[in-house]
Amino acid sequence: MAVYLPEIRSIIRDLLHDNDIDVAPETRFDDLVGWDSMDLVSVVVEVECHFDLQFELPEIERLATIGDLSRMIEAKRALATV
Amino acid sequence: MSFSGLPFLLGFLPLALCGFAVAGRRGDAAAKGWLIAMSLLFYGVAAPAFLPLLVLSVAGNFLLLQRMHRSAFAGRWAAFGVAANLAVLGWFKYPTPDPVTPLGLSFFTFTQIGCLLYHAGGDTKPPRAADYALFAAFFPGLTAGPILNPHDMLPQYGGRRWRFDAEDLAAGLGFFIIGLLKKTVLADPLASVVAWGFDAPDDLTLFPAWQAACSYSLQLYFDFSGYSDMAIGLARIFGLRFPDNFDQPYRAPSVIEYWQRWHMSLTRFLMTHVHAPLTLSVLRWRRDHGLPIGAAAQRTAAGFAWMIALPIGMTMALVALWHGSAWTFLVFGALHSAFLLVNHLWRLHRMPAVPRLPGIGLTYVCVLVASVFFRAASLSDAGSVLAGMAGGHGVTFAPDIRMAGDICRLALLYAIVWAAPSTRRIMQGDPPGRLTWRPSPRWAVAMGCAATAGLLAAGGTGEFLYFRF
Repeated sequence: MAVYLPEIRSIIRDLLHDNDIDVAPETRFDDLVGWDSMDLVSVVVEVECHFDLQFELPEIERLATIGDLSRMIEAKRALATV
Repeated sequence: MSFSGLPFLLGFLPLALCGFAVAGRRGDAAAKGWLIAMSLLFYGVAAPAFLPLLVLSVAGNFLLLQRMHRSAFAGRWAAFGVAANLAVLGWFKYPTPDPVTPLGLSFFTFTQIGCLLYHAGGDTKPPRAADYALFAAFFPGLTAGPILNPHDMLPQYGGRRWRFDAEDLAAGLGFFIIGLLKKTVLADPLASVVAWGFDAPDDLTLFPAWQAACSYSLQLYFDFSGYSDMAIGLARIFGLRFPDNFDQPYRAPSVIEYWQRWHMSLTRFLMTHVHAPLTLSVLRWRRDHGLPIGAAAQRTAAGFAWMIALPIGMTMALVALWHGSAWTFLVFGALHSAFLLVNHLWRLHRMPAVPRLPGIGLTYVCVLVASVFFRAASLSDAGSVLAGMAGGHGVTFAPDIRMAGDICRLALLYAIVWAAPSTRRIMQGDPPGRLTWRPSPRWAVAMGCAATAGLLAAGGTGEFLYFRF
């Protein structure tokens, strides 16, 4: 279950300037049309801004799917509220 | 000592294998100790003057890792270690335009820098001494990589029995034999044509200029991918899985993809430790200053310069400097930067995709032009070869060219580059194909013939092109 799917979808659509892009938890970033490895860094920076979080580089390297990103946001937000 | 030389094939390798089998019976510590001793012997024979440097480098980095683990300031110790490693690299590699670089220095230094950065958080357990020695200085990867990633490699050293495994032994031998074949049968015979062309570039008319450039790009590919296959195979024989270093780069339909498939361990290292942190810093800075970071912003001149061109330019400058400080390497890096930026502009502006086959052809021509600078002794020599390729020195054929034979050889090599399955596909069926190795009499004969051919052709130029880096 990707709790933050709507927010992530919106960020990706804004970044890539493409409102037709749809994503699911199992969608791999590399499979998105027009995706480049730098786009992942852009998405993470937007996510950081949106949720007031900070990601480390090794964490970014582990992100392969939309679900991975959603779970990491969830984990970081849970930690932040402890 | 070269993997494709007879001293290695008929002396060192059998000794290493027999000793490992015997030592393995005495336990894992003895087996690891034997492999460390053989690695020191390997380096000591190949570059005796620099053996103390290797030992000091490995011991120094190991002690630093232990210190980092006990310190509350692991990150600072890691930064100190990276600076010290780079200082050593700079001291030996860049004092003069043509320095004598210790064998494999760039490779074992980068592998160890990666390990320091991996442990910089202070929350990962440092490796044991013998494991670290084998990680940093195991002879298969000591002289020309691949640059090892500690995340993938370090778990392989503990928790396993250091004995021969039939499957690993067979697969490792297969990788090694195919690599040997690439090196001695395909790459080495090109050396004389390449030297002939690049040593007298002003004499090259149209066909010989293309012949020299194409021969060099093929020699470089078969030499370095052959070496990498042999290194991967040797490590596999002893039960270690080295990372891939080549994925058929001359079939890449874009320069971006080419760099994802050529010398992959170096690309991965620089993407992880240079490009990604730089990009992240730039994007965070822009976000903190209220500047946009999306695709639309990247399409503007300022956005493109900061978010795309700066990280790529810096990374490719390091790729160039990694190879050496000569102007030819810097132009090589600048050319590839330019190709990558055009590639990114094309993608960002959603230009129509180039069909796959023309894309592969265009990418290869770009790579070929840059490789002329990579090989030439000077910028003027490179310019002369390129002028010859453009017909600037006339279009007559040189009289001493063995035309038909040379054309046939190049055609055969290009057929292998563009149509033959990769070593990984043959040996591991990854991805599945019709020509997949299996333990059968037919494959045993095929591998035996390949090994014989590789061995008979061995003993020529011997040394691998990437040993000089």
